[in-house]
Amino acid sequence: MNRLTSMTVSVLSALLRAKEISSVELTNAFLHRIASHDTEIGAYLTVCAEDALRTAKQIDDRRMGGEVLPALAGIPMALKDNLCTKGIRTTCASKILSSYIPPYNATVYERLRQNGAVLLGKLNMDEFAMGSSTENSAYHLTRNPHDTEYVPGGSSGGSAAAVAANEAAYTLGTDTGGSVRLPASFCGAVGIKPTYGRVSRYGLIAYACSFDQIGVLTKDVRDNALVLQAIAGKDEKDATASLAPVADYGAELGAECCRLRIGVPKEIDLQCHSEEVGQAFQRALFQLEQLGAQLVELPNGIDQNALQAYYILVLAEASCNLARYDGVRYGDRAAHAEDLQSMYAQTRAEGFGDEVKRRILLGTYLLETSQKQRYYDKALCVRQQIKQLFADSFSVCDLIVTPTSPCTAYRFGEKNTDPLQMYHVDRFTVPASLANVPALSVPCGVSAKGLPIGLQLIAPAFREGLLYRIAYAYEQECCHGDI
Amino acid sequence: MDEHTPDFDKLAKLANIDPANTDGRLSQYFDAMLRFFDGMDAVGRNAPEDFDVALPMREDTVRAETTREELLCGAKTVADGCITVPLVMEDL
Repeated sequence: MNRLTSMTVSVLSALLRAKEISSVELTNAFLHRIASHDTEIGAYLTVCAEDALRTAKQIDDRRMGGEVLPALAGIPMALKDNLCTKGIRTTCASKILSSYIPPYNATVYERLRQNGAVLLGKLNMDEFAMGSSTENSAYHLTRNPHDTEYVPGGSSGGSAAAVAANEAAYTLGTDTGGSVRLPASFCGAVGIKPTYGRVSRYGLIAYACSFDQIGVLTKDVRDNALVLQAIAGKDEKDATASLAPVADYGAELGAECCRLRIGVPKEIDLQCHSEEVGQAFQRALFQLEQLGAQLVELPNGIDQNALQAYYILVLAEASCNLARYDGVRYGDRAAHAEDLQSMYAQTRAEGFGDEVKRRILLGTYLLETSQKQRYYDKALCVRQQIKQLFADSFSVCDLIVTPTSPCTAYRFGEKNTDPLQMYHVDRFTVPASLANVPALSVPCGVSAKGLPIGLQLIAPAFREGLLYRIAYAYEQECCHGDI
Repeated sequence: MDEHTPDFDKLAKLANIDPANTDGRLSQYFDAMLRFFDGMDAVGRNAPEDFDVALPMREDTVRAETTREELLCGAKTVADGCITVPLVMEDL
């Protein structure tokens, strides 16, 4: 049973097609794994055992009836709890949505269902995706499967931990400023944030609309390409979903990497908080050269003022997006309010956690007329400059490489007394988010304590295939996929 | 009161959140974050005036058909695909 849960999607798909295993057998294996391990890991907020087994049985019946099914058919997976699932509680890890049951499915889930995916359940996260460690969930902590004293990263901590702990074959997360890539790095998974618009956001509960993007977390690069292929593409329900055709990502795996020019921001390894991360990064650069890539130094870096601009814009957008949770339209209402105004204030004060309240209040402040020019307008300018910096960089290189995070996973409580210190963990991931370009984290080493280290690859818009090409070659050559 | 010192009572009203019901370290948080944001000045001053912040929005924008069920539940506004444009609070 445990052997099955540790296999990749590609291997499981082959076994299912050959009818060597059934989807019911596979789903049961994952449900047993969740039952035996998730009390310790805490990746799940909701487990849908009955629904999962019912879907698995339907897939098995179709296969036994001779139907040729897609590669993902019958494979158990799980979704971050900010993706709407019809009839299944969707909380965003917040008390204010503790009883919210969506009447419709997110487009990504609908597409996976059409591909025969089996939904095991909904995964823990930082409340409304606000955090980098999953310590901000209103329900419980999620622990890093590599060492349960350490955080799994965030905000898609449940999504990364479920993959690393073999509690799902693959998962979806969401990435606003690094929320797929960072937990992928901390848990030794492969995580991609696609280009803004590559994947429909319909049914994703909004945090910061101009940044939010749904991403994929898997055990290896091949699986990641397979799942992104299934969910990418235009969607009439999302006006920001691109009409650009989706490339054949599978065709990029194994393609030649010789002569690819890889940009390295100047002195980026010196910005790492951990010497081990800097060393792993230098080793990865050497390995990329061995693969035939040509390294190009980017003297201007990619992150000038990025972290400040990112937090200003994200907080401003969040303060607007979360205004809708008022106890009237959504969520649990405060029981003993005296009037409408106090009902709003009490509902929101009781329903939101501290980090969410802090961000809403600061976001509101940044949008006040007296402050807007000083902060918000300037941050928009910086965002435009960063987009230009990426455009300039991509005129001299094909890809950009950085560490995913300046540090490895840290202990619970180590950074949450100082939010600003926590925000600095995002410093390498936010530039790609500001520029709306795709980025992928692939494992590139392990610290002395056994904690995974991630390498981030960044490509021009809609060049996810290029990310997969180099990440696959790197993974095959350097064997970090089995961390 | 300095023009850049947050008026927490006013913010509380605008955001519909009682600041007393936060973790009690709000002023330190604001102080640290605003000092951090002010560090952005150097590049911000040199920013182009005619910057373009347009998102990759489809030209043939099609809004989703909203079902009666979704309207009743208000689900469309929880998680639809639209962009929320931040408003300047005093414009309200």
